[in-house]
Amino acid sequence: MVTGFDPFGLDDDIEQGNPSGVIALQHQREQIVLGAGIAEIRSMIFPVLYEDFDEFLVERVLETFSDKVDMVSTFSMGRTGFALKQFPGRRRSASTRDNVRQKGGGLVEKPFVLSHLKGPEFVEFSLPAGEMKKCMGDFPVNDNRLVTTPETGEFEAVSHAALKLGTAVFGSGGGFLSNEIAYRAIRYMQQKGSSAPVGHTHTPGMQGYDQALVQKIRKQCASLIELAIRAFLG
Amino acid sequence: MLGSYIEGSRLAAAEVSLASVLSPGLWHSDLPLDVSPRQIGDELWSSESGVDQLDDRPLYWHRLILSQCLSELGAGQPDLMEFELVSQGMLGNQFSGGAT
Repeated sequence: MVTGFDPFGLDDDIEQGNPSGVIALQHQREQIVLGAGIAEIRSMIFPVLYEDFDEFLVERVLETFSDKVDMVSTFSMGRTGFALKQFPGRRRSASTRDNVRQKGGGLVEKPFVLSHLKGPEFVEFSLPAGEMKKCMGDFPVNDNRLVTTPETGEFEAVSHAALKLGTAVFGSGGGFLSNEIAYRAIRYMQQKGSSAPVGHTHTPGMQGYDQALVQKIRKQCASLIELAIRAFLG
Repeated sequence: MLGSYIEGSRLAAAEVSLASVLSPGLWHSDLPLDVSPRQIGDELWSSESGVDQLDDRPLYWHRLILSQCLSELGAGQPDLMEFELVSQGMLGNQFSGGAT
């Protein structure tokens, strides 16, 4: 399964697009021939709306697919290069407004978590990062291990175990909905007992819409997804 | 989930700013009366997804327009919700069973 997000930041630029959405659209119904069979991709696009996340949209959607998928790869737009978000955090801390101009309820000083969103403070990316980082193209593919906790401030976490005692302010995916879809997808699949690897990747950023940039991003992302699938299933 | 007033309020600006990149027909959808919201959502998702897709914006804006049209035609909350989910690939987007 491959997911992306709707465009956002539309009050700043009504022409804004989202490369993660293009990636999702591009891979819908794609088939990849493997040695022993065929990997089939289904994709979907999530709204940039806190309310939907508060109402467990991610979990409700995954519920229909959790016993049918071998891998879940979520995408959102980041800044530079492709970044594999190693340690998504449980709390919402970005002041960014969503597509209906609502804030998520969290601040860096006071991260927000829904009382009924149970789980560890941090979860761990489980896609085959080693293989994915070998992906060649116009952009680097790097791990992002940067997290923030009140106890330690901002730091590069060396392992998930090193985060056991920390409270999440920012996960590796930040404190907005990109971090949250990563956290929720990993958490949900783990709670279901699924062994399917799950992980979130930030794409390179894009101001407005830039078709040449989109072409570069989607081309490399296709390789990234195929590498991950072949590494795990091939 | 449902296309809100705030999201819909950007449509006029988008129609002007995106006129050169999005199909003119996008902005004025005539809905067939004999097709369900779910079918409309499915057609939208199918038409906008595919290997050659380079732009995610038509899906987003078209979804808002169609959601407004369906609402004006009297579609109820469950139908609108179904339309939204289907048009985002979240409902009815099953694996073929051919994958191994």
